[in-house]
Amino acid sequence: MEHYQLAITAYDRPGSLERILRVIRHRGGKILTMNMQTISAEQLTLSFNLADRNLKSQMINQLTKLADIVAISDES
Amino acid sequence: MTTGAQWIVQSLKQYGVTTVFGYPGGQIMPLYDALYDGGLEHILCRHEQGAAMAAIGYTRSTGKTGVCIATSGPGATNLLTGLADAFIDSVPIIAITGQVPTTLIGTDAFQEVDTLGMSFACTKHSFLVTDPKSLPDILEQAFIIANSGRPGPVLIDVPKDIQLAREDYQQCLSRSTYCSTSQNQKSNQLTPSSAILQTIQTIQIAKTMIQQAHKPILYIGGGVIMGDAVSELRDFVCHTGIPSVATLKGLGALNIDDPFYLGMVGMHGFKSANLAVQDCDLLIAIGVRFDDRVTGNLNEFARHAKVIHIDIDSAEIGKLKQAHLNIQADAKAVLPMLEQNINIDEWRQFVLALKAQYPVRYDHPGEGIYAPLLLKQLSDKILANKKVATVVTTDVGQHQMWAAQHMLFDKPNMFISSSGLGTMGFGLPAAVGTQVARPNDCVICISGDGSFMMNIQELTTIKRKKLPVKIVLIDNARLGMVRQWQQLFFNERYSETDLSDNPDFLVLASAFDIPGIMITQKKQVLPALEQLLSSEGPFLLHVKIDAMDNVWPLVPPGAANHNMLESVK
Repeated sequence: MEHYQLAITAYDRPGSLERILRVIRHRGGKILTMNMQTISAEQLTLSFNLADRNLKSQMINQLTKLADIVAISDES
Repeated sequence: MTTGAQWIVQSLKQYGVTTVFGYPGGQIMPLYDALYDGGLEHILCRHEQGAAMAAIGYTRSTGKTGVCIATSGPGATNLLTGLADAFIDSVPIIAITGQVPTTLIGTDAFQEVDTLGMSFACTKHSFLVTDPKSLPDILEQAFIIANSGRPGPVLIDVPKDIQLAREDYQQCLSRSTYCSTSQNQKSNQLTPSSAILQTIQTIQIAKTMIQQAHKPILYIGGGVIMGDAVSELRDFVCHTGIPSVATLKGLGALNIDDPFYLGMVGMHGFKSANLAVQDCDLLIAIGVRFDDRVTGNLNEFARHAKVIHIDIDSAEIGKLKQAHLNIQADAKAVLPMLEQNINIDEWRQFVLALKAQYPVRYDHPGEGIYAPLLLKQLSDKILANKKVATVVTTDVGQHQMWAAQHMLFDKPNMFISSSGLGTMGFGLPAAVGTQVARPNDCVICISGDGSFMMNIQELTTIKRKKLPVKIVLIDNARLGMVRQWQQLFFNERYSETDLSDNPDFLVLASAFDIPGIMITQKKQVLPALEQLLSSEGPFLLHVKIDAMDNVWPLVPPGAANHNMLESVK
């Protein structure tokens, strides 16, 4: 199963990280590796290595809907 | 300088809110103190779930943003089912919950629960206010998020100390950029394969597909109603003459006088509607989710058709069904651009023949009441009365499907039902919210004996506010839909679906000063409906039906929609 990588910038607010992780879990994603870092008082960045490339488009669409997300890009 | 609670009340008024639904408790007391003389109408429901569902009814019947309020802990947990209902049905409501003071969060304090954590799966977005200065921006953002794009519920969890904090809140409004990144800005950072190009070229391709189709069908969902695109849809249908079907949540979007409107599609849809969809060569899906209850076996759904999918939510595009053309846009804007004259006379005649071949039949043996006929007669009376607008709410189960099949809804927001979540207990509080929102209109709650018991405490709200809600209780002394499935798919092993020890519903209603009558015979139906509709105040029509009456047709789980069951084998 080919994996893929997403890079996310999000607002650093109560619940932001959990909300992102919940969507990935609920939409069938499997996290292989993950890195999180605050980049300012307001924002954080995340990079994910996720299993199953077939889910990539749906995963991006579902994550993009979140109000926490500032930017999301496919780094595969 | 005002308190946070006073600012919340002021802000709600500023955002056009006039009425809120809620239930007080310890950690929300400062807000209730502000509500005491704050100039908002507060409707005391008797369970927080009722408050959330009343807010949904209020919103769905008016288009205004509904607001519900609860305390921390059990108050907040009781809201969740209502929020989940609003989430899946894309209803913009705002939930405000009390929370223990910020200094106690995380200490397992009395009535503390992680409301924010619980909210993630059932809200479009949620906030925990940790700094009073952020309160104005959060309130503003909550209304924007709830109503933008695909609408949905937003929760704001407000600790008690924040409610009590005195600030010059006007000065705190920063027009912050929190959550203001537009979907388009985000989409532009996606790879071209997942970004949806919104161009004139796409519209032109859609027009060509429609022009070239011989057997097109419009598949219309609740998104058309939520997106205020009903008049554009009806104009489009007038111009093109394309036959149409609706989902449960799409009922009311299409013109019921259109001879090529086939009614509801799906598991309990009409045979003619399902067969037409299965036979079409172009499926134009607007504001729909390709829900499993609509599509049946997805691989078999409209299997010969090319698909155009129009939706405001990019995540719905390609989620279940891969369309040949995706248009991520507002249907209100797109539909006028697609209007054209097309020649599909042969298909239209075929659709008329299908409708004639599979008419709805109301002949039913015996003297007992046949619920589909009763609901059709009620519907006829509602449509004949041009003086009063009527809104129907339902609970969930067989009565809901019978109402969807046999009642006609000629306006959007005339039929309010828990569609996506299928929440028993929805009908009565939704009727409360609807009647509060539309005091001069007739509101009818159609319920079943199982569902009615789930939020029956809201009869008190009807009594207190003197709401003239009419209740039609279809009572088969069973948990009917589950019983039907047990009969068909579980070898008639009727596990826990016998409700024949129900209370005397008329006595129960009278305890809340609600008069009513019970009927058991066909011949009693028409006079009883007259009595129901002519009553000045609330009224309960208790309708006893046969326990073994079933909803037909039924597409068995996993089957294709052309394989409908129409009787017990």
